[in-house]
Amino acid sequence: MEEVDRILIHSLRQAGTDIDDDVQSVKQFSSELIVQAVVRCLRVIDPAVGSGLSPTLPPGMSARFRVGMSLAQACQDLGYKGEIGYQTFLYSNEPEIRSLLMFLVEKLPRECAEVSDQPAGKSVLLQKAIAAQIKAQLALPWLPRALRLPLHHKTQSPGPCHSFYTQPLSLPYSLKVPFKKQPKEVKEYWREYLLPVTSQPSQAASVPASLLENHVSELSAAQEWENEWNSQGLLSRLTPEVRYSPKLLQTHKKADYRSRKKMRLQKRIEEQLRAATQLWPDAHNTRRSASDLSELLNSFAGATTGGDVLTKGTRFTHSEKFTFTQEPEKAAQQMAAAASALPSSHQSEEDLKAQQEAELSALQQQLQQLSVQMEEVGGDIRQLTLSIQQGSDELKQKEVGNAEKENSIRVKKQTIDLLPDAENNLIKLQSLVEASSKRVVHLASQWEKHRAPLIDEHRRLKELCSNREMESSRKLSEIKELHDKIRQSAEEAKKKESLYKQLITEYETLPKDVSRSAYTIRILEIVGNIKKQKEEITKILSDTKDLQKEINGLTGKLDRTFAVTDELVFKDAKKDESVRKSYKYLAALHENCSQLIQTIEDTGSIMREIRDLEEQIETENGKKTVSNLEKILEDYKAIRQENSALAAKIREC
Amino acid sequence: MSKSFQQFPNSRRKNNGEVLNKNEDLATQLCGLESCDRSLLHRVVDGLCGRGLPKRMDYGDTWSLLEWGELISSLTFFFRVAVGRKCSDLEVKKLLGDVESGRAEAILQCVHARQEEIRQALVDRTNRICSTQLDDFNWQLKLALSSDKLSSLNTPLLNLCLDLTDNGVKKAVTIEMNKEELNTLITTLEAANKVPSFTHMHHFSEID
Repeated sequence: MEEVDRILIHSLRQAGTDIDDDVQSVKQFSSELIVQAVVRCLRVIDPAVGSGLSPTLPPGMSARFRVGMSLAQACQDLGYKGEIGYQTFLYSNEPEIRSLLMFLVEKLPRECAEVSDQPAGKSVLLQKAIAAQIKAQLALPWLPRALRLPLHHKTQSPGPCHSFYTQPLSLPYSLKVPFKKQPKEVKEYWREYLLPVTSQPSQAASVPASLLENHVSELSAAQEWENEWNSQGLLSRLTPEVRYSPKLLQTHKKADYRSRKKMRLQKRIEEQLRAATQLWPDAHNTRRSASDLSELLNSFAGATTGGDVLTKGTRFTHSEKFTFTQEPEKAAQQMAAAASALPSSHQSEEDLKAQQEAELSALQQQLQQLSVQMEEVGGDIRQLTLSIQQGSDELKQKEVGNAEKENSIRVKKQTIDLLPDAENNLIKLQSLVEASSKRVVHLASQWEKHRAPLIDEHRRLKELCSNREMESSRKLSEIKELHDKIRQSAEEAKKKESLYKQLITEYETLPKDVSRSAYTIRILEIVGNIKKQKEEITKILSDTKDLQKEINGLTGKLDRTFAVTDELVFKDAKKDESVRKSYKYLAALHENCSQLIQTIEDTGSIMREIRDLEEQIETENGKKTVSNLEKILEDYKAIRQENSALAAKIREC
Repeated sequence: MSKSFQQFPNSRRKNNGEVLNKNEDLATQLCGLESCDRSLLHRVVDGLCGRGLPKRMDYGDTWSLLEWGELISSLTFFFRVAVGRKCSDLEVKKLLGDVESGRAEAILQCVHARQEEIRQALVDRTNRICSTQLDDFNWQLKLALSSDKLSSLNTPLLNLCLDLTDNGVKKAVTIEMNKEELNTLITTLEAANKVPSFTHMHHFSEID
């Protein structure tokens, strides 16, 4: 029984019942504990039923009675066959409680069998973790700031106050250039002057933020590149980038995906800029915009490197600025020039200075004018070169026309020369034409001879080429498939790993006190015992049968011998007096013997009855009748008191 | 437009003049700099790249406060010009003018070593062409477990903090979004990313 009780108590604990450690068997269960255990089990088995029942016994007697009744009803609804009523809970006896609890524990759902081997969703895990954390935090009392222990700092401090502020970091590696190819100066910088990354940002608080930012930007760049390479780059059949070996540089440069993309982008930027400059309504000399583009770009560089703080604005305000900021400067220069033109009358030092300034501004103005002239002259030169080009083009066209005309003139001259001797010349010409046509035919046949194998060769090569193309595209698709497969298996592996970890943690959290194997061994032992007992029982049964048979046989034999003896003696008894006497004795003997047998049988049945009664006494003893009776009496008194109190209340009302 | 273009050569000439002037100052300012003390140069570059500028106290009392300010600004200016115009070694030396040769060598090496970083910083500066820029963003994911009306809500909320610089003034914008709003924001941003604008292309060319 101890074994059974231990299992029962363990299962009840798992169902959520609070059982003290010193409770070792069902015998020690109090009414409160029984009610709690039953309610917990009911809640697990059927939440709808269980939620309506309270796991604690109420203080009032009548309420207790009602709880007992409803519990009994619930158990019967579940299908409990045994005898059950309020008394089962309030005035418990061990075997009834044990059988009830065993029934309930058997009804408990087998959760472990239903746990699927899918990893629990991340959200479920997260919510579990959050719930646990909040539970732990709620368990801690709130304390004013001065009283907080280090334990509370983690949950009750207001948290870090500084914001997420990043600064660019300088790290001693580069993704683009391997370490060994770095120039000497860079290596020296890394070795001698580069600060450790923790002291690079100006505030210590932004170290983690900066590191995170750095990592994320590199990661996202790498990811974007990989995505693009897998989606477009691979299909373009170019190498990803220029390898840093001088021998390969030339051959790879043409087939380099990165450089090609860069060129494409630069072209687009240029086009956009050109379009933007041409859109400007003021641009009356748009034809120069192409050559000015480089100047514009240079001016960008100049503006950025100028050191002055850029006044921010949209792209349009910027282009506006580029056009108009020069105006005030020019005006100022003109003013200065006008000032210098004023006559100077005094020869003092100030005058000298003024004169010098005037001179300077005059010179500047001159310079200005000269540069303007330069510009103009440059424009003229450009125009002139353009017209020169046009002239030379025309010249070329005319020369070509001349040559054509000369040709036609030559042909006409020859025909005129041939005119006098027309007949002969006609015949000669005809023969010439015939000969040349023959030659043409001959050449054509020869050409055909050469052409056929060449065409065949061409076709063959074409086919080979297309075959190769097909092969390569097939291989490309294979590579793609492989990529996909690799990704898939990596994901699967990750999933499995997480599942494994989760199961490990679950396994660790599981209670270790119940060893499954011990249970199975015990169960097997019990099964073996039962088998042995069964064998013994069958043996005893067969023994009993044998005995019964023997007894029957003996009784039959006795009856028969008695009948024969009776007959023989009866026959002789008529003749002889002494025989008659013996016959009387025989009858008496038979009667006595049968009486004896009867007595023995009676004794046996009485013994059995005694044993039954003893068993009954034992069970009755187990029911704790005396204590239960006392309890019942007390409860009866309590109910009466309650009733009288209620009656008094009614009367008061 | 045409006027402005005609003005450009002049303005550039003027810039060069400024450079020369500044570098004459540089020569005098660098007097205190020992030729071996190159870490100052690197710290100035760090400041240029968006980290903290060097502190005067760390470099003794060689410079007065005024000199120090001028030194830092002219060095910064010089680095920007040297990298921004992709100057060759000779041009850099010409820019440095009559700075003593040991120091000039040190500065040149510094330019070589940090060229990529400075270029990146300049590109970032150019990218900030609009009036409002995003400096940083931070997010916090919150799970609203319950509200005053519902006992179990389980709604994830995203708290997005944007640190913006609006015409040189820093300000923080905080937005709280639920899942749908966040999805809308992300799709909008992705659509914006696909539109090839000038700044974007600039950015892409940097990535590649």
